Amino acid sequence: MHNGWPGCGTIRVERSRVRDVLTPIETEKLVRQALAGDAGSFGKLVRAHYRAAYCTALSVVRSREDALDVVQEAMTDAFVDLESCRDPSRFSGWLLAVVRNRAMAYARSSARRRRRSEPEREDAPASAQTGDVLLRERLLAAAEALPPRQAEVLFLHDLEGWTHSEIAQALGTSEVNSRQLLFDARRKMRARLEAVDGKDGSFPGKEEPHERK
Amino acid sequence: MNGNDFGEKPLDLGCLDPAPGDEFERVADSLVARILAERARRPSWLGILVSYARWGAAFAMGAAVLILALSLMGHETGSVDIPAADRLLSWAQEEHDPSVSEILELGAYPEEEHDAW
Repeated sequence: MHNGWPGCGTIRVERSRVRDVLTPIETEKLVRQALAGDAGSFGKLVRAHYRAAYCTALSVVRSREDALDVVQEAMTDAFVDLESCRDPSRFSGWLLAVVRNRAMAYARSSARRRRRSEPEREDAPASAQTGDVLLRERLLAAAEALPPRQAEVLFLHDLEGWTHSEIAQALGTSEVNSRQLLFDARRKMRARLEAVDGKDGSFPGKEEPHERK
Repeated sequence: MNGNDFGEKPLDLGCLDPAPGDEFERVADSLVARILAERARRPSWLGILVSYARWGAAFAMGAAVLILALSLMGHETGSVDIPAADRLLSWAQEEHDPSVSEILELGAYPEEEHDAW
């Protein structure tokens, strides 16, 4: 099943157009230039890795806003201390590891905060949420079924558009394993989405109920 | 990107995009500016190294001067404790072995050496 929810397809085309694709050799060269003090190289590296870092953070914290916070903090720390990246040829994997660790720490601390403030917390009324937000939450709720590794591969591949080769190199795994993780993640996501859609009878974020065939 | 892994189409996750459209440039620019500002504020390793090296050199110089001064003072005022001639054993100045009376007279041998005998 391919979900035909509105708005998603257009964003995807737009995103792949602006994505700054760097080969590993280019990445290594940029890292060395950045270490030498070239400010322009920082900009290119940040643009090339921002979305991937977001995918990694999202696979752990499972909230767009939290993932954006984590990415801001983790990327700032990583780039400020760029000298600690010992092997510039493995920069992408190093950066994603920094983001992943930060996201895990964030998830732990936010879980503690949530437990403490649970009685006072009030959810925003459903009517105040826009269709996009509901749609996003539906996707993230479906992604809850995925282990972080599967979610990371799914987001990097289907959201950011990384190849299995890139994913395997960054995550320190094999391409075959990356494919398997993606396959499992998609299967689980589709099952969850179908279950939710079947329950509600409509897609979120639409003015009118979506008729399924 | 290979969209047909195991014959499957990719999921459309565009709604999860962190910065759709022109927002991406704005977000990326602000992040880069923040990184560069943080790096500019951070003291460089070279600066830290030079600072430590200066302090180290100053301490080493001070220690060397102190040791030199102490050694010079010791050379001027200090003297080697040479035993006076009258404190030498009487029989040691002569060519014969000590007699029993001379040995007993001394009485300065440690207890354990008596036991050893």
